[in-house]
Amino acid sequence: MKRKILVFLVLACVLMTASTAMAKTVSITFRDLFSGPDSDLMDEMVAKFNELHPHIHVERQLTTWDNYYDQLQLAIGSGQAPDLAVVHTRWLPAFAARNALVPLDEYVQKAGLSSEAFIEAAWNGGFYKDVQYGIPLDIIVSVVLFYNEDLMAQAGIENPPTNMEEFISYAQQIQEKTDAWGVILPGGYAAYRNFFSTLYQAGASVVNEEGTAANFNNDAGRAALQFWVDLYHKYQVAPLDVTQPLEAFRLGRGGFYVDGVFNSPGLDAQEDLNYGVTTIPAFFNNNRSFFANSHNFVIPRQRRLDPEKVEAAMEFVNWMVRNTHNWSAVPSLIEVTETEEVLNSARGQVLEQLPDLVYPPALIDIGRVETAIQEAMEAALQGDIDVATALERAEAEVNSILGR
Amino acid sequence: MAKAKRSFYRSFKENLTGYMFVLPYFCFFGLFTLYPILQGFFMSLTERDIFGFDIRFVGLKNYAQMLTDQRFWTALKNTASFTLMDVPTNVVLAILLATLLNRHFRGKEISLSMVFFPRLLSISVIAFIWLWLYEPEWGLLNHYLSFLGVGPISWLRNPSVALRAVVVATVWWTVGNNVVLFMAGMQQIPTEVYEAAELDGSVGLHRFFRITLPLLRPTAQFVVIMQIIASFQIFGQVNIMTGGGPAGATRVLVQYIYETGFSYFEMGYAAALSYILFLLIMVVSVIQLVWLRER
Amino acid sequence: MRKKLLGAFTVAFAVLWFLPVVWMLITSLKYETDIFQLPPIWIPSRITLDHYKVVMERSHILRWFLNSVVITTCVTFLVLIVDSLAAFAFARLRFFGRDVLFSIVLASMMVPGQVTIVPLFALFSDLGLINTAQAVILPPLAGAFGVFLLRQFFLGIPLELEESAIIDGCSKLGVLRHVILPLSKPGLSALAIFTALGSWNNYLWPLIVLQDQTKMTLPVGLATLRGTYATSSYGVLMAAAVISSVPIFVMFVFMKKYFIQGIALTGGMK
Repeated sequence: MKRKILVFLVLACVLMTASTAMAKTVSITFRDLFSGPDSDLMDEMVAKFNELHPHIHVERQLTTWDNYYDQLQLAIGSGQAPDLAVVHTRWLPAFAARNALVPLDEYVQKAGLSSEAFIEAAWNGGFYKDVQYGIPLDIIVSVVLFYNEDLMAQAGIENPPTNMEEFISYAQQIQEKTDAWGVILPGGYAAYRNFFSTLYQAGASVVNEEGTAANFNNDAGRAALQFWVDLYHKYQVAPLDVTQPLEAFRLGRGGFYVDGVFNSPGLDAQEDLNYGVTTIPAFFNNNRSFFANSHNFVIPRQRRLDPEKVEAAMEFVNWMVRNTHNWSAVPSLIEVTETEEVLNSARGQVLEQLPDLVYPPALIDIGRVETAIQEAMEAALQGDIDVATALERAEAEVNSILGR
Repeated sequence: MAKAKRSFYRSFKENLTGYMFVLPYFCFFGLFTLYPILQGFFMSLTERDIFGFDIRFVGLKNYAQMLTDQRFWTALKNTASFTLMDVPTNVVLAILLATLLNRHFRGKEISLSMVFFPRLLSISVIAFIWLWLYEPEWGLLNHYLSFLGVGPISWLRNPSVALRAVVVATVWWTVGNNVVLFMAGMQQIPTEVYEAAELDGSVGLHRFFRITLPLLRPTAQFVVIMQIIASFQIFGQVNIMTGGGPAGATRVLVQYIYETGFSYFEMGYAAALSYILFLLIMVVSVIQLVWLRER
Repeated sequence: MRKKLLGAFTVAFAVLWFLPVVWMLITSLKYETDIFQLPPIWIPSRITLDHYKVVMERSHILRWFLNSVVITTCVTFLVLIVDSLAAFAFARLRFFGRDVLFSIVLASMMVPGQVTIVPLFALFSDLGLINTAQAVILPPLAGAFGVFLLRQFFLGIPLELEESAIIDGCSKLGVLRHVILPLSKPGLSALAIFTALGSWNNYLWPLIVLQDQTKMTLPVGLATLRGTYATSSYGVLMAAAVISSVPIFVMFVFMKKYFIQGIALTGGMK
């Protein structure tokens, strides 16, 4: 009888340890906005992490880039937030200020992550009002110059342009000597990023330092917007009617293309296209500023926060930031930027230019502010209104948003 | 006394039966119509985001804010222009097509089917088809219009054209519905009326304007009202095809409500905007009642 | 002669009207390089199913379709049941406050769903029903049109038929089931088509309450493809559009009469 009880007890113990071991597999949901080749890369990285960490299972929630932030708001607002999410630096204050994110200071320390290991500009983007809410994965290089080498050769141009005069005259030469357009420009938010970059090159900014008023309705701002308008209407080196600008450049129908470096995989697919990538010219004042942004890992606020999941999420984040060698953007961790894989890629070039990065201002109503500017800019680019009117209109709207 | 009791019992039972029958409907009605209307008004008096961690009562501030919100006025204007373009085009085209289709000819059935079919397609399918037709370089429309010496038109990227482009897609989608309604209306006109008219020598266009059109008035009123209310609520086409752009030229009221509540973190303001849309639709409906009474 | 000409003109117009649908099908079957070709190729010399493969492999389109079918079916059946019960009470039963209640229902027809999305979202998120099919199925059950339409229809049915049933000892529910409903088939099918169409095309509300790719309905799911493929491949977009339209087309071919009669009837009831 006693033996039986003993056997039973032993069995029970074995069963219990087995079940606790199984229960220790922490499952976390992870929501990001990557699409296309980036999404495939992210899938690989997540799969690899899951393989190396049997006690954690990260499940990617597929979403779309289009209305990612609407959907993230809806998820947090309805108490169905993912355990971990990706938020751009420019959107982080909007979520943080509304208490939708969990402060990370304590967890960051525990995980052994420290500011010195990261590129400073990227790291700082994770903070709102001196509290850390995000850990940067990368630095997205959203504005670079793609150039078609064959078209440049046909037009007798050796090196890509480095300033405005060169840019315009090269574009004109390409258009004269080939049957392609000089420049192809993207629309939508990409056009805003391009305009943003020249805004800072020319010496203006989106808002003043205190973040209380618009700071683009001035000579510098007008010059910046006028430049893009002129490419369409004065020099006529860019077509207005392209709904698929990347496609057009890929098919060799334009000499230059200004957009994010993440478009490279799409261009690589075209075998007969010889193209190069470089940083955008210093269009104004010999200033090479350009729009930058980071993907940050954040922990959305839950109805009930599970510390186990937070810990698992932090372990995942910690691993991810160290394994971005083949990621499409510049790694945020200094150590990774010094590896061969990064230095030998298009991302390596950008590293020299880190001081020129300009992150969007930390505004809690960034969505409204950017929409206001982008739409005024679109109207000007289409030739519907002149540059001065556009900026005046945008300034009035931005000031009223900031004044609320 | 006993009789009164019995009749009280009977009427109680009758009442109870009645209530049991309407109960399921009124449960849903209360929860999903009445409650949101009241709650929506309360929300419109607050400042809150979707997360709901911080709710502040602000009185009529949201309504006051609309007065100076240029974006709201543009959205209102866009909704009005959409309605003013969509309703007449839709109704006139539907009457014409119904007249053509309401005759005897070979291929009548299949013609009606072809005109009606788009109505059954999902809103996203409609949007995709027209995105492709409107493609400035490779789209069918610009290609064939170029033979007429028109274009190329930047349908969805030119602020002064985009809203009209959305109207065209919408008319293509919905006109079949109205054609069917008008045909039904025409079939209700007694043949004797036409026979009598023929005796009077009323034929062709004359007959159409003198007899068909006036007798179609009830159907036309119904279609116009439904079309106006539907136009006020247009969202899907805009959301998928243009997202409210370019330069805000197609941002209609519902699109703006959606953006305000779910992109810009301003649910209180979005509730207030919804209430204004509600009032607008009420006004239209009341005008409808008066108009229908008139006849 | 003139009559024939008008007939021919009408057919030609209808064909032109239908052409975008044909163009969608043709585009979906073309190779990428043939899609971007001028003059447009109407009869491609070679066709491919590549775009269909991309849609099937890289999206949840079948899932979306299934979700839409399930949701539309549920909504339609529930609306028919709930509305015929209420409509029967309003048409045939006498109870205190009946006319007041009915005017409230009538008045609510002026409140379109779009204006209550903000409070409704708050409600469903409190109920914990976000991201569930229930969130899309429940709100349409409060619609007033069906009650109104069916009441009109029931009022047109002669009372005598019911009286004999009542004498036979039929309960009120029995009268509804065995007398009224069988006589109201046109009305019911009109309401079914009206409701099913509305549910099938509902976009705004599902866009807000369905966030998981696997939970989405067809219109919402399809719309997510726009961002991914509108900049790269119209072929894929068209293939997705075709996949989601073919079942509708087949259904329409077989049930054309009901569709058209149903629509006609919803307009006749004022």
